[in-house]
Amino acid sequence: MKKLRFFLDYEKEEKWLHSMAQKGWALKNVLFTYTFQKTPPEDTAIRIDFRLFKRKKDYLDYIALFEDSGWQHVAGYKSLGAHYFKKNREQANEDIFSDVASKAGRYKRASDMWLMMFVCYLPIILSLYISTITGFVSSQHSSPHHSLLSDLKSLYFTPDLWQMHGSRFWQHFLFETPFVLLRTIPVFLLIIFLFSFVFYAFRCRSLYKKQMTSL
Amino acid sequence: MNRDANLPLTETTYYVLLALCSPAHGYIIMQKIEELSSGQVRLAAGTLYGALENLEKQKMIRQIPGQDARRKTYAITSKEREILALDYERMKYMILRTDSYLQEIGE
Repeated sequence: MKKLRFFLDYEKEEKWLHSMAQKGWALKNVLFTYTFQKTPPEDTAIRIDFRLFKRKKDYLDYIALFEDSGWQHVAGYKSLGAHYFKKNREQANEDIFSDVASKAGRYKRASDMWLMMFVCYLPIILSLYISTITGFVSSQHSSPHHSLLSDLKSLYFTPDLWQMHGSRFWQHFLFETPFVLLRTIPVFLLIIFLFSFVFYAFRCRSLYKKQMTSL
Repeated sequence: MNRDANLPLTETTYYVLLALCSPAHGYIIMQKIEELSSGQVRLAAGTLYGALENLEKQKMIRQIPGQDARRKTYAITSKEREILALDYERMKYMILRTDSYLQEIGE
């Protein structure tokens, strides 16, 4: 079974995964969606860490340490950050962290990752923005008034569309609108991503600070 | 008093360094610390991994070739052995002073 969820708060995610395990759904994989497999109901704890690895060797050593100490790696990828561990030994520690500072540290690493995503995507948006601006400047010899409306109008390529009237205008306008949307949706998506990354970075940072002040 | 900037060591760091006076990999370190502290300090995997990573970054410990290909073996550096000794002296002095002072005021 697959489920689509999104969490920034690891405590909430761990609780949800625990309740899924109690209902007999064992976590198998996390890649955009959560993949579960039907098993007998289990009351096992799930804990999440966030860490990115550059080298395979470091990643294997990391998993070995958790598995040696009774926490089985059930989901997560070397370069995707989130790692899901299932307690598989009675006498293992209650948690994968034994102090508050290291438990909070995962939020800091996640926040840094979102900020990095923002920094990587920013140049794409900026270059798109700059190229449209310069594009307008060269095509705007006739009208010196540069506004959002004229920006939007120039997205339609039908010649003399804006000089048409009545049904002729609507016919051409409605015909071209889907094409304009198709051309601009990637840009809107990029902008939405960019804002989400900043939001996630700040949210993770505040979760980090909240946990650190509870010390 | 002219003290090393790394002093005082945290309890975790102290035990990790002490455990690494003989080379070991992660889980062995964990068990050794539990044994050395008579079960008072039980480091969890995520916490120990972060601690080892930081200590390696600060060049307090280094990786050495071990028999286990999958698990990294660490050892304390000679510079860090000195710091461990300094922290030991610091704590010993504190205990000594505490005892003598409490005796002096008749506690």
